[in-house]
Amino acid sequence: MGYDRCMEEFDYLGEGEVYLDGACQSLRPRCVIEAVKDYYTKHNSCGERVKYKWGIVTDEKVEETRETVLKYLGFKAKKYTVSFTLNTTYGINLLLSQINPSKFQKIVTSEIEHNSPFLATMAFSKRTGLPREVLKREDDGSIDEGSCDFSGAIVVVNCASNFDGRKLVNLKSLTKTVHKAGGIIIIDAAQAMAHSAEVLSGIEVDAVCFSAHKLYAPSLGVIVWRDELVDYLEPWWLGGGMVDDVQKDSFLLSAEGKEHRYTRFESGLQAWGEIVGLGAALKWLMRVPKSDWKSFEKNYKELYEFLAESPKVHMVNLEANPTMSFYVEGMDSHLLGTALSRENIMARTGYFCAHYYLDHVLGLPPLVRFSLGLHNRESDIEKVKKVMEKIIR
Amino acid sequence: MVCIAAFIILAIIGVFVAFISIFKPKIGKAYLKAMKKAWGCLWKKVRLQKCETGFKDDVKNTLLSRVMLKHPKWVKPLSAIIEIISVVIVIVAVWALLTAIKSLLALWALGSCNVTKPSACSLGAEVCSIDESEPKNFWESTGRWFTEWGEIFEAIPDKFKSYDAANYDFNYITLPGTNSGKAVAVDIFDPGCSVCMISYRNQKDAGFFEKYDTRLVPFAIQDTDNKYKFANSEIIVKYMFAAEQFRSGLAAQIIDKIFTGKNSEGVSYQNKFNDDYSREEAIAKLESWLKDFGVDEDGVAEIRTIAGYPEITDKMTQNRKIIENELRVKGIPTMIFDGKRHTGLWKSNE
Repeated sequence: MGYDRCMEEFDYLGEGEVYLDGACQSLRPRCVIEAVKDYYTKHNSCGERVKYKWGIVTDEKVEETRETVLKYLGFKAKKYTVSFTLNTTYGINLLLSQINPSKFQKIVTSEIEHNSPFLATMAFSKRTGLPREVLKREDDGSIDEGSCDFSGAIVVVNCASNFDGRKLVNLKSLTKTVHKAGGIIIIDAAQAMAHSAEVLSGIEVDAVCFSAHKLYAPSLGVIVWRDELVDYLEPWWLGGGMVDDVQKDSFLLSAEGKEHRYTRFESGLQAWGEIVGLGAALKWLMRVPKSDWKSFEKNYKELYEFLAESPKVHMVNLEANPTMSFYVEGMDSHLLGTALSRENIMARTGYFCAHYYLDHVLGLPPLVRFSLGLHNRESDIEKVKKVMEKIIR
Repeated sequence: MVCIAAFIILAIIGVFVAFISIFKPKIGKAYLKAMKKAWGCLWKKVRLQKCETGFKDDVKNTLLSRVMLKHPKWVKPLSAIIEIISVVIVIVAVWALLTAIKSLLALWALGSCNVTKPSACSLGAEVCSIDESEPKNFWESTGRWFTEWGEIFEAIPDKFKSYDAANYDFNYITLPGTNSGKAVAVDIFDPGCSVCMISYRNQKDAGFFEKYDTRLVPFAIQDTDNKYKFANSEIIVKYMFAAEQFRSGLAAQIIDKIFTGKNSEGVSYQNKFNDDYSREEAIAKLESWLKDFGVDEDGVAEIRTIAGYPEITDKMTQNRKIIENELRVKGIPTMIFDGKRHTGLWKSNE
């Protein structure tokens, strides 16, 4: 599939419409939309509990999606389980709400986090009384492993920031350090999954939470978790589809066995259509040829360089990334966002749920964020440059 | 400030939208949504919280985004202008709200929505107001605005007070045939006041003076610069006190003549005293009436002499103190009877 073919997947984009908010909701390729449509029109059914043929088709596709997620991440199926939920925030909260605090001494996060881990760790600390530590992130995205005693620590950090895309470059050694100290590490991979999942590849973190809607899939959350984590969990959020047997005052969780371990976080019926869509999105992503990735890289680099060169533009990014944030000197970012929208350029403005770092640590005004995706064409970049030039000249 | 201004504007246009939405419910729904957003932003501001992407941005950005694309350099000055206009709207709206509250309170407590110039309030009773001098500049006006609040709050307890007309140490004149066995009523009036004149006629026709032991308190209204509101009221009041001192009942005849009498051309004597007579002509008219009432030349001369005594001026000053400081009267006629205080025109059905 060539880059033009890739573009065909987004043929519903109107002439001159430039979508630059993939970091929030990526656009869905035709194949994903078709997969969801197929579920609703060809095998709409209750997954994982029925015997009729539509249900069997759904079960196969859901199972296939779980396998594809692990394959995409380079995680081993014998060690990891894939559970579906609503979104990253929900996934992190769901995990933290079931972790037994008596087995840990502290909870740790970092300063550049999205509110998703930042607030969830805050709430965990308040609820359990365990101390919370907020670590500094270096310009390259790494965490100084000597800056914290990770003994018995629950570390919840992102592996790619949602405002400048900087990656947790020392994730591998950090994971080793945390494990060595008897801690666990939960990764917010919401911003890494679409374009930089390799940052996680082969690293045995304890859990990865991400949102399918940021990687060309329908709205859905995913928790990929190491089976050993079950030792630290206390069953709490329970309901349909989670048990093998129920007595008057007791129950037997299906998650006791590897085959249905995913049910540990899947209470009630799931969003089967969305799960099927995620499978299609991942397969599509894995099929995107290198040349398309190169074109994508060329696009975001070109836009980054254009912005970075303008003396009036203050970039938050220190290097090019598909996600880039900035503000224009003397110009209100929300106003700029509204003006761009008038030109059919859709970009996010504000603090992008990273209030603590952007507002209180860096003291920045509200920002504009351009987050590019595989749907962006060369002409999009030209148009954005042209409009921005007109505004900031 | 933009969001506060927006909320105020929306609240004002709300009345019109509420009417329109009877016919077009969609407009009403959209308006309610905007109103809720503006209120949310305002509530945050009130609690000193951030309102980062609230209604303010929607309003301002809608106005400026088009300009940004065509004339980016205009955005900054226009943005500043919007902020200034917003500040002005907020100040004006807050001032208007407080003034409305003040006026309502004044109407209830003082009987007039205009504290400084009670007769200027069309919502109040018909009165001849005891006006204060006009403020000379902005700072005086501002200062007056605040002192008026003080006057209103001082007057509030009076609303709940029971009045006893006999308790006030007025210098007054009595009506002929007054029976001291009746309940006492006090009637404060200015001989030049047309409302006092109509009130007097109403009282007379309705038999008020027969029902009560009425103490007429003549009072020449002065403003804070000591200027008399009606040109000849001062001399009339002086002659009334002097005549009363000379012979009880004489003063009542003078006031009856002023309030009910007309000259040969059919013009009321009150109008003549207010508009036509000079001080000398007024004195001449009063003295000719005294003669008509049976006072001889020597008697008139004595009354003239008494009218010039400082004691007469003292009587007037004492009355003024009670009226303006103790009773805090803002307009006359003011009557005290049956334990209550009544300001403004007295009608026969009262």
